[in-house]
Amino acid sequence: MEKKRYVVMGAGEVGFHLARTLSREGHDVVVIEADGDKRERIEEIDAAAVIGNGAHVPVLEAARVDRTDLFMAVSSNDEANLAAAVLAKRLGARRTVVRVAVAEDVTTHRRIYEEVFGVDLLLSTQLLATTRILNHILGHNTLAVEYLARGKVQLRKIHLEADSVLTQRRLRDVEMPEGSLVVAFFRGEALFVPAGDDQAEPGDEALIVGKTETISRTQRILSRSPRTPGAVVICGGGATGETVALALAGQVDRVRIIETDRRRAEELAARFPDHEVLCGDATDPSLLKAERVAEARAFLALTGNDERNLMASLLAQELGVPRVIALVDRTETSHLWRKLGMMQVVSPRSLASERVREYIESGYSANIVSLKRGAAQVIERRLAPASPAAGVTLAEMSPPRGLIVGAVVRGEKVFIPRGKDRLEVGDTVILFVQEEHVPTVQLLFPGREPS
Amino acid sequence: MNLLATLRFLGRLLLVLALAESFPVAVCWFYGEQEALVDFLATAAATGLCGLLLIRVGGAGGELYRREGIVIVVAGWILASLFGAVPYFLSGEVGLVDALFESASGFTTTGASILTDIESAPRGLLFWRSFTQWLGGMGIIVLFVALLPELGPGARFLYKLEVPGPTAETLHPRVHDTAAVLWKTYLYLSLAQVLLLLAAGLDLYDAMTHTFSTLSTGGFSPRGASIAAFGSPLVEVIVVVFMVIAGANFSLYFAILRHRGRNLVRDPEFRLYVAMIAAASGLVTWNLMTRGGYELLPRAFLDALFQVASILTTTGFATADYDRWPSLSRLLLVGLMFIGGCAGSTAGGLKVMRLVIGLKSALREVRLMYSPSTVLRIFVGGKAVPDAVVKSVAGFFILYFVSWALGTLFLTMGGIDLETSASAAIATLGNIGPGLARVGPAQNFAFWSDAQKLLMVLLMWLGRLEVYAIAALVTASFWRR
Repeated sequence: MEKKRYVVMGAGEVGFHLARTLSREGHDVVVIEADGDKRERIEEIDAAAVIGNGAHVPVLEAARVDRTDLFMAVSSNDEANLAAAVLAKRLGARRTVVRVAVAEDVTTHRRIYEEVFGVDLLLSTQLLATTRILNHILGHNTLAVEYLARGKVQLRKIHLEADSVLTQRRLRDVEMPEGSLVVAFFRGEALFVPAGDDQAEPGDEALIVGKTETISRTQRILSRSPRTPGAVVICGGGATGETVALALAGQVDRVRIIETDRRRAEELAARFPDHEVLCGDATDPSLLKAERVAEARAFLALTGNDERNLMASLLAQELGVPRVIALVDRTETSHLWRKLGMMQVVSPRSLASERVREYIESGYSANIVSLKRGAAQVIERRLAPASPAAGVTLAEMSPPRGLIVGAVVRGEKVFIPRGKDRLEVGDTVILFVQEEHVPTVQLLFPGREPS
Repeated sequence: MNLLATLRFLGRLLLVLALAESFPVAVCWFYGEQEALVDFLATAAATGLCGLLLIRVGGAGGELYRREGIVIVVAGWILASLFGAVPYFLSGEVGLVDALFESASGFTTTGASILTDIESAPRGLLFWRSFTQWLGGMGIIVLFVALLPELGPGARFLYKLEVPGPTAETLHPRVHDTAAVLWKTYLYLSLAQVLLLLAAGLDLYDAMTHTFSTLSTGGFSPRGASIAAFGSPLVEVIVVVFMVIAGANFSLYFAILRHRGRNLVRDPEFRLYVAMIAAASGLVTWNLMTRGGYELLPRAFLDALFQVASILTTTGFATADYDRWPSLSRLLLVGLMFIGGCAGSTAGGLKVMRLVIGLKSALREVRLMYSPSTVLRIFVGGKAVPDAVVKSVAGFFILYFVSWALGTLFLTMGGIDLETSASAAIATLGNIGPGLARVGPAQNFAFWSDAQKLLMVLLMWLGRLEVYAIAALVTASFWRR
């Protein structure tokens, strides 16, 4: 393997984990960290430590960001990460990864960040954790999610098993719910755009595009996973708890959130009229019993404190909740948790470093489709008046098979176009394109990506 | 307590009032009513002079804070009622207390009257009577805030004190602009109603005076028989429509101007308000057809609709003597008196919004009985209501009912029957006007003793300013240094 030089900013859980793995693989790693006490710990993993604020030019220069392929700003401070990424790029770093806290920054506003701060991969630990947790409790097999059209449309890569309808019937016989579309199958390294006669095989991966509101339902149908009945109890109404609660809305019968802080609990109650918010301590057995948490289908311990999560999870398990998922910050301890019988432990930090490693391995392609090295890509285009596609129905346009108009965003409305649907000037179209048809896209939809 | 700033402010308020008092002069001149013309000139001059005097005494003034705001709003309403009473008194038709009653009834948009023979009064005076309602409807303080951009931070509090409802919405970052928009909306709606009434065959005088008392939900009419005097179903329908408009939140109309008309249809308070009008009208129509001796369904329906809208919006116009209606209908109307219109409207009463919040809050307590750790927020239209508002609504219910109960108690002291007293108390506290029995729509308020009339003036002020501000003035700690 070619030896690379990486710069990691922030020696917190994410940064440290990343630096250690990269260093173990034999790369040169420089870690920028504000806290001088961490120098020894960094040097122990055979990485160079630069002590200082990563958002300052001299510090970045000392870390020689001009000689790095990838600058990873993964400290817990969003603003510092963004500032450092802009500076690093200006100083000569080839690519940047920035970690932000809030999921919405990635799902909805990703393009602005990419444009303004020159970010190549924007990731949110919260979002990664949420996706993983949803997989666990909804029985989804989501491998990756890409958010398009300001979060209104999602592109999901899902793993198909023998129980999926896509592996049992030909595509034309599968009743897809309104507002979603299968755009591609992956089999091994190969990607192909299916026609009506095609059928997936177990072990394949499928790429589906759909409206954010309905795509989870689509996925449930495709993977034949039963609708999770009963309540899901979320312990801890912090940022992660809130993101999960939002994603669960409409997916399960009932969401109950337990939050210790009264003020925060009231905020959550105002935010989620349909969820139930309890104010109390989830590590208090009498509360869990009084509120009949035992009847829940799943229990999620998502506070920011590992010990509390452990305590609450053990209690929930003791009460007989069939599925317990806990959030763990300290990645080194997660194996201990599994020993205690926790079937599912989600560590946002290791998820983040996994995502970055995936990014590196894919040859720096942030796009989930082109994980298979440029075989296909997703392009978002706003229809300009001069575009030949404007005012034309999809059937009239008859695009080649490898060019799929996956979704159309018109104002606040999103729809999956059919043959008779007409494209209008000002629409944002989401195109799924195989490499050989990219020139066709330039022809039919001239212009830039909208932000 | 910054007394000087308060005085200066009140002085400026009187100047605006003096300007308003000079409008009827033109009406008097047009109809050749010399005596009334002199009365109004004298009143306007006296009001203006007092205003200048207060401004002089107040000097440069200073910042206004909450206490000053409360004093200004309450004192402003008292002063407006007092100075507004002068023309009635000068006309020689009524005594001092009666003049104050009529004036306060006008400004607070109550519409209860002590005049026994309305149509014999000068037309200029009757114009003033309706005009005071129009001023009081959107609010004299709001008008003042709209006219003067330089009031400073205290203006927002003044505005909130006068705009009815649990929360006063501001449509613009600056409260001056909000007030201006509200008055403009009010003005346009008034213009629309005047034009429609003209088209329906009324003369300009009738069209204007009735528009004044419709959009303000006041209910004064220069005609003895109120709207029934015109004998025109078309006029009745126009008035019903504008009463309903006036009883809804004015910020919704602003939204329509901004091409967000859907807000009106989606507004939960507006929907409930319209639903209540529809349900009550339907019930009353049925009651009138089966028990009320009505023969024709359309007539019964129009009468029911008109009376229901008039009472719920606290206007108090009448096209039928509902006091002769069967008990169910009368009881329903009394119930509507308590509810009143929507928050941010010109109507009185408890307000539909408060009723919704109050009911939801009560249901919440029931739920907390068995699951005490649940955090429950109260939602209206998908938005969480801050708990401070919920508390203030609960407090308001108590204060409102105590005011009504004490008022009723005091009114029965003179030996007046319970039905009359209790309905007179809510009719004045709710700024409606007519009540039942001896204060029914075909009667008037002349027979009460002076003390009782003064009490009802207090009830009208309490109702218009929604109790809290006046209640604050009588607490000891308000005045403590």
